[in-house]
Amino acid sequence: MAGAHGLTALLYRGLKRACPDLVPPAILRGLRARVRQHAAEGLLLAGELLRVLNLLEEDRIQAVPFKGPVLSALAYGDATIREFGDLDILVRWPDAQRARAVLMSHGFTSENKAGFPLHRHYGLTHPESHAHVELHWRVSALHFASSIDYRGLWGRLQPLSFLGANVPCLAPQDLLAILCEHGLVHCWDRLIWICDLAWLIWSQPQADWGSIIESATGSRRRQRPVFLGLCLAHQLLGTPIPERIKPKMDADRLLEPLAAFIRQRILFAGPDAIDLPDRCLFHLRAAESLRDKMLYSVGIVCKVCTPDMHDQAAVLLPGVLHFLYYPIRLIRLTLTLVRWAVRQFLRRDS
Amino acid sequence: MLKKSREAQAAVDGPEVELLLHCVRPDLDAERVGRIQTLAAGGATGLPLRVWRAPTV
Repeated sequence: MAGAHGLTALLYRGLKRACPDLVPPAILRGLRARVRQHAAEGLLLAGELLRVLNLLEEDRIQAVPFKGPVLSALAYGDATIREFGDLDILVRWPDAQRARAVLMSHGFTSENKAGFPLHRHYGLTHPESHAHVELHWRVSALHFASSIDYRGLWGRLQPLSFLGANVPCLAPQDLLAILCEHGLVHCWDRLIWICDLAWLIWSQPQADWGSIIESATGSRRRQRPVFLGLCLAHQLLGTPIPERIKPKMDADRLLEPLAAFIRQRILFAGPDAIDLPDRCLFHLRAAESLRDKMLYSVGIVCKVCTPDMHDQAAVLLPGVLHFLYYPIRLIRLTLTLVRWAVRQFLRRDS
Repeated sequence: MLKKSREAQAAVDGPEVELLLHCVRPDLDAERVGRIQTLAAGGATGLPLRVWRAPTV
């Protein structure tokens, strides 16, 4: 369970401190080996991150890492504690194509051969280091009503001393908003994302988190992503909620049902246990206004009707028959819905 | 809603989850260390041994 949630290093640290004698030695050795392996991989990726940031800076492309080793250093005080498999870097939307071209000119290969920005990021992999870099210009798809201030955050970047170098880092309110929106998009189905929040807040006890949270929630219409993240961190890991924020969270009557849904799923069913229809319903409930719900509904209909790489992997068609991917997509979608309905029926029956 | 404690929730979630949630907390104080020891020893709520599964390296 700890491994699936990306918590091996934190679990090992907790057990080693609390009760090393009560854990079977073979288990402790296995955990330590896993932690060391993650740390070694994490250091290699951290080195690659510094190289990528330098390459982008040389071409005067402003970029800021979030999650991965920088978040690990910031929240946990150690670049290797947090488990990560790729490097997430935020760039401005107008710079995204140029940033992709810069990395490709230095050996990275792109998953999106045509380079047409269909989604919210470009994925690139280096064939030798196997480092996977995601160049994001948004954290969530366009049909998510975002509370992130993508324009303003660049003016609030802060320097962070990281492995002997100075790297740009998001201001706390922007990092909080991004982590919470990312969690919401993925239905918070990894406990490590909730730990990130708890440790980030705990790591800066002098900070005025009441003001930071108010700043992160931005407009009053879109405060639920941040409040939901805080609610989960509070309920599962005891993160204190600033007094001035509590009444606002208590006023949102949907917060507890949404948090209960997440708690049940991630703690009992594990990561990736929430299937697509449930995810869509969850996102729809989490949207705060009628306008946001409609935006999400239209976006999700467009998205689910558009063939993706899974449809192409299911059936290989020659170019002239590519139009058939649309009916194939609908058939696959119908089958997914039928499977979901059957699972719902069986769950209710048992 | 916010008054609902993690301990109350953990009673519902079971000892394995409670052990994990205690271990990954940033504020691992003496009280929580004691609770981890109790859980790991199989006392109180009785942690089932199946929790100790070696990770795949």
